[in-house]
Amino acid sequence: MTDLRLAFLSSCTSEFLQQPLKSALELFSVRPSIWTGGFGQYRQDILNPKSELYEYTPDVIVLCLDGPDLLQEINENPFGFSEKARRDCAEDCAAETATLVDTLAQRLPQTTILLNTLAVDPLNTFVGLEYNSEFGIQDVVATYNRSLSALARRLPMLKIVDVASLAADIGFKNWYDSRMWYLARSRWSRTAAKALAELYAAAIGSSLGRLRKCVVVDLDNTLWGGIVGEDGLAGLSLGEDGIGRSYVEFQQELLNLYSKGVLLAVCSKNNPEDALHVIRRHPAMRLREQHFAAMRINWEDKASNLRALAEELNIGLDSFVFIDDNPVERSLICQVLPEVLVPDWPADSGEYKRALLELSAKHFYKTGITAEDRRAGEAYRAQAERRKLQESATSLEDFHRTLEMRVRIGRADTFTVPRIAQLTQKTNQFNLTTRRYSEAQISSMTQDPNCAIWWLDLADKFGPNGLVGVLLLRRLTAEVWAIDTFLLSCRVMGRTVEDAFLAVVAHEMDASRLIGEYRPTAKNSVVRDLYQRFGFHQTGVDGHGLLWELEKPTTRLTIPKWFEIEVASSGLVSAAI
Amino acid sequence: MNTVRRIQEVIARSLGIPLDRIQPDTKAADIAEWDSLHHFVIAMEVEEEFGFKLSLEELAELDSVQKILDSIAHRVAA
Repeated sequence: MTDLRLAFLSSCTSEFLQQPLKSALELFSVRPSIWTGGFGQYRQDILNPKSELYEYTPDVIVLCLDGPDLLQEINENPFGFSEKARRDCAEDCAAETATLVDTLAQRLPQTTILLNTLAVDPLNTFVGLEYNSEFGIQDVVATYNRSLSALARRLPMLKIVDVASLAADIGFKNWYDSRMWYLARSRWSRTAAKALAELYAAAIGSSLGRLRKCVVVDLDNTLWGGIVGEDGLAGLSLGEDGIGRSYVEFQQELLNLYSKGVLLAVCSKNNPEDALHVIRRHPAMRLREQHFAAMRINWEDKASNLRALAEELNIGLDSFVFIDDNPVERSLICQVLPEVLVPDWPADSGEYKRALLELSAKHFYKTGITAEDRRAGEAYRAQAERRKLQESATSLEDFHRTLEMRVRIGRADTFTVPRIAQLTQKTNQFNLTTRRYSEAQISSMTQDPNCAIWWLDLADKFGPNGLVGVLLLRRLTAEVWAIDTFLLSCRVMGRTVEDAFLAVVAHEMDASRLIGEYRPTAKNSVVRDLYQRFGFHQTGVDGHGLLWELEKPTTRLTIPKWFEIEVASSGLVSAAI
Repeated sequence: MNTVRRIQEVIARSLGIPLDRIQPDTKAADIAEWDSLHHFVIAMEVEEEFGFKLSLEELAELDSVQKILDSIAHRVAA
């Protein structure tokens, strides 16, 4: 359970969101304490530098500006606004929102801000007039919402939450409860409050990196209709028309997840040849062998198979989502492996696509796609190639040399902030201190002269690995730096990349002394003796772990000779320093 | 389970308090936790539990176990 300080600023009554939000956040192991601004006071709370909001130092701010509140003038005088007047209104609203968000971003640079898109009830006096006459309101909403995109691109700590789309999905007649409005000035029905809370929780969970990583799918009656062992390839329901199309569209959504960096795996009770024949040869398959990071196609029990998949992919069972049409299989996994997410799956294949999208909206909620995300699936396949090479190499040194590794190291910038934050959130094994940072926090630290954030990008003869290492140092004195964070993606462990990384950074920083920390966790014992290996000596123990120190690191740390190194900041290319 | 008992459970659950604090003659004024905010929480839970929708007036005045019972009696064979 993580504690979270959440500030809620709203243009209307927000009390009814609190309990649903607390429940929804439990799903992401987040326990919020919630501060709410006074009714209608959000402008004052934000603009007054001495307001309670700033004393509260929230981790997350939800700024909830409801459509009818911002567009009150138009609602009260619907035919008094020309197109031009409406355009001015939209621009004024957008400008004011930008000012409010900029103020928050300046004063609380490490806080994540969630801002909603506007929605107005489409059942209004403009029905018919909208788009056909000089009157309407949708243009104001569209102009305002479009302005939010530019705002989000400018401010890395701001995430836009698309409440307008959520209201459309739920249906406005279900969104608005007139009784709650007249009696309590609250615009949300019970259904709306629950859905909105879930959306905010997904956005918050996402900013903290609490996403699942892998979808494991069954094959028969899940990826296609029918049972390949009985019906044969030709007898399966999978095609561009009719019922078979429901499976094709489901596969397409899985493929979309793959493109966002979610891993796909297969767990099916079948003869491998029968199943692979369909995956390789069926013309209507959208998913092919290369899209799956791993497969378990055999007659063993699925719980054992899932455990094996977790080990092969080197991710925790709590990163898995298990999709299977068979309720008996689902029930087994629920019981035996409770950390795996097993969504209730519809009996009707016509509902598969929607069920997957609803699940993704919660557990695969992403606000950006990094280059590493795009390559995640491929990366796992390349990993299998590297493992084969390692097995055939005559020595470890030989293996490292034949990998032809090329390392690029550089300082964090706007472009690399999201991936750096992502790594701090998901890396557990090669992580000396396991400090988790949001994008807002990393971004803020890049502006701090007493902070140095370095990334490492690795490529080898099998392809790019992407940005896989982070070193975050904090200045203690002019030349003494403490290593706050030192991590490497587990995919690149065991290749001495860490040696190159620390040596190059120490050289670039010209540090006279480095202080290291090892904070033991259940998962990072692999780096317990890392600093010792580098020649640091232990200086003490504090409440969290062990402290280490290294004098004159530039002379003590050496770069292994099998790397080609490029330091991005200075543009140097060197084989060794 | 009889209706009064179900109402007591809904209220106790909505307010997060023990069941025995809610009696058939309990009013909102008697319970500190039963404030204007929780008034609506209880009303929504009553609707969910008994499967009907309160009118605007009923919702405004639902401030005792008895009133809840009356609103149900109007609709459902208790």
